[in-house]
Amino acid sequence: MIAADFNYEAPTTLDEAISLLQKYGDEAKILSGGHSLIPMMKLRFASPEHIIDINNIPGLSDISIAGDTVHIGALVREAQIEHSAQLNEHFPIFADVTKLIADPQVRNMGTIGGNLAHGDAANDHPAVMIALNATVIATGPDGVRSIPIDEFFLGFYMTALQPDEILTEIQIPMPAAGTGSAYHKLERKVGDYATAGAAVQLTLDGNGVCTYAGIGLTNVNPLPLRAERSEAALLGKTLTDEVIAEAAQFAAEDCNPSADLRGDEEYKRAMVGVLVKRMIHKAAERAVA
Amino acid sequence: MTTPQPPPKTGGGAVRDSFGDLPLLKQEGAGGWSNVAQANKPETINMKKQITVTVNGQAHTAEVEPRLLLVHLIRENLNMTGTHIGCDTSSCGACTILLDGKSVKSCTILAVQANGKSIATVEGMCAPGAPLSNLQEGFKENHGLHCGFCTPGMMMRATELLEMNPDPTEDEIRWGISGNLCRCTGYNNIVKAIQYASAKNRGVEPASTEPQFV
Ligand SMILES: Cc1cc2nc3c(=O)[nH]c(=O)nc-3n(C[C@H](O)[C@H](O)[C@H](O)COP(=O)(O)OP(=O)(O)OC[C@H]3O[C@@H](n4cnc5c(N)ncnc54)[C@H](O)[C@@H]3O)c2cc1C
Ligand code: FES
Ligand code: FES
Repeated sequence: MIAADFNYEAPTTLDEAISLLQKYGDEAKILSGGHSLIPMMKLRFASPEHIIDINNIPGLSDISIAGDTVHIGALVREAQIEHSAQLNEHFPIFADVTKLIADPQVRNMGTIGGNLAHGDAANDHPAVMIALNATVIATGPDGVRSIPIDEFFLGFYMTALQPDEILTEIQIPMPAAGTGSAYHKLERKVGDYATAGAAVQLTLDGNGVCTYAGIGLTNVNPLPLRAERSEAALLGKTLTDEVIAEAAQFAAEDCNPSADLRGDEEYKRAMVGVLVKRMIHKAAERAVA
Repeated sequence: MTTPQPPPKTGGGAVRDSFGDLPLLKQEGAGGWSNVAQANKPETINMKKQITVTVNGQAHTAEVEPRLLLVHLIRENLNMTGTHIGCDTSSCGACTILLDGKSVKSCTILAVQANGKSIATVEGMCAPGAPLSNLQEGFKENHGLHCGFCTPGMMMRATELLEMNPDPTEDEIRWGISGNLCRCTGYNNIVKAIQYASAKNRGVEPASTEPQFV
């Protein structure tokens, strides 16, 4: 399969890339790992006239911790996250999620920025970013702006990014002491998108009371979903089996899955319940470890 | 926190369900995907680019359409047909090559993206007539191939796997080749082939080879 014709440019600075985006507007698409974009172009679901490859722009591929914030460059590859000791020490959820994204070769190309910018509730990072309460940094002609993750996903393939903006960084608050995180998705085979997935981050105080709960769900809603009632059900409580079961039940009720080859709605809701319960347990175990 | 309006439900995505619930038409206004009719495209579209890639140590310069896939550059422009095309949808791994040392699926990379980079293909594993590399020997000794279609991709993937993890467990090998499909050998002998190469690379005598025919 061959994509429709397009023009290709590979700017070496952000400014240059942004002015190309301004020039071409809607007709341009940014190319990061290309592992969502190129398949869509080969299938002719997308025929952008201009491809702006941002891989030659330096400074977008670093993971760093500054003060109480973790900075992940937009071009950081899944494989880089998978093997980052620094990241996985504070966020075991990243080792969980990257192993379940596609396969090793795809992870050598796919970027975290592209995974979010694609705006697909089937991708795995959106739910993780919701659980971690991330902020998306976008750079455009007017400079840099911060977009809270809850305001980032607007629709199917639609995000808060403007056509002339580039997602340049993801910022995540460093977890407080007593924090644990976990992700799992049910997949039919390696490389499959989730039948359902759940991302959980929890903070427990010295008495085992939950002081932070972030829960995101993958591919069971038109948009990546924050399970707000589930989070509220945990906050301020000791995580007994009853409390966890209630939170899981809320997630199963509040999601909005559609029937497809992976299962019908009832099955998917049931799986959301199971996954949320298991990930709360796992995150809580990690929080006290 | 804003509560964005959910969009109308479609099949829930595009490419991933290439065998099933693909939305037949893109959604109007969804994410700004433009599907402008080719006829309306300006003349400047598809300007050829000159690229230079180093393949197995040798530099090649070519003038290519931006839409040319890397796997086609390798197979058709450079006439190196060891790299195979199985699925053409980034699922099977037959097209796996090393791009700057990283195993990638060349059916999902544009040739222009490889400009200035170095590529390793199966042809570079050993010169004609030279002794086989440890991985090639492992596949030969362990009946790690049957029709051989998946083999170049398997070996290129295993090259990076062993580079990153010289002594992988069986589980790590199976996970490591999870992006490569084999339709006829079965994976047991492929895993053994990689174990054989891992041992030999480390100067250890490979376990005695008793291929499994299942
Ligand atoms: C076989 C296969 C299996 C997969 N399985 C999974 C899976 O299980 N889970 C999962 O989450 N993903 C999966 N993916 C998707 C993969 O992780 C993609 O790589 C990822 O979704 C997109 O990242 P990318 O860097 O490749 O983005 P690209 O394909 O380059 O871009 C995707 C979209 O985002 C835009 N974009 C990219 N970067 C930016 C930026 N910095 N700023 C603004 N816009 C930008 C592009 O213009 C494009 O519209 C799979 C892909 C394949 C091919
Ligand atoms: S041909 Fe590239 S992955 Fe199958
Ligand atoms: S040997 Fe035939 S596909 Fe693997």
